[in-house]
Amino acid sequence: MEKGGAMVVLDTTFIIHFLRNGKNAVEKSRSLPGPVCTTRINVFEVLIGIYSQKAERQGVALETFNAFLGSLNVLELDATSADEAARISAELNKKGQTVHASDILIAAIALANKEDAILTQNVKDFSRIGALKVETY
Amino acid sequence: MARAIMVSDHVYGELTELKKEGDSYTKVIDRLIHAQAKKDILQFAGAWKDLNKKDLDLIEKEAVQARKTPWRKVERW
Repeated sequence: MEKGGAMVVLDTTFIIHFLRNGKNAVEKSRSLPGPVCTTRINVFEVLIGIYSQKAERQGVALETFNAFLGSLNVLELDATSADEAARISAELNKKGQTVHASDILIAAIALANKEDAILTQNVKDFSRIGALKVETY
Repeated sequence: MARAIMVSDHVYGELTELKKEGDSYTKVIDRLIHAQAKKDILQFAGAWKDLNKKDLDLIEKEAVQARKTPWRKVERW
């Protein structure tokens, strides 16, 4: 890691592909330099997926996802990251660019926590936000 | 109770760089300790591999859809 303690932020699709045993995601995870993290927004998105299943089929997925969350840091949306998100959003609006609100919140949380990079398949949208390094798999 | 410790200029600089608004050095060090203590995620690689493919496809589809349409219209209240 370039900065002591800075981590890679895992995006929603990476988490799902990793848990599904997706070859690229698992291979990429082996090359990550240290502890990783995700944001509460990503947790929210994965949970929407899990709760979209019939109630009787949610158990195992939910249990393993919660155990997985215990192995990484979950960054929260706080006052600093909300302020950062608002700035990013306003800057993009001025340029006439639109990026999904969740992308902006995730990037802002990562930047406010001085994390290294976002690991995602959504390179196009995150690259528009700037400042944050974008990695894919 | 607070204790004073000595760190090199280099470490002091790195800690300062990691400070967020309102952070103390204690908070930064505490965060680093807990980050390092987290387990390796690799033990969870493929943790869902034995689940039904249709269920997993639905999880992925709905999670991706949540990103694309964050403000869903409420059809009924």
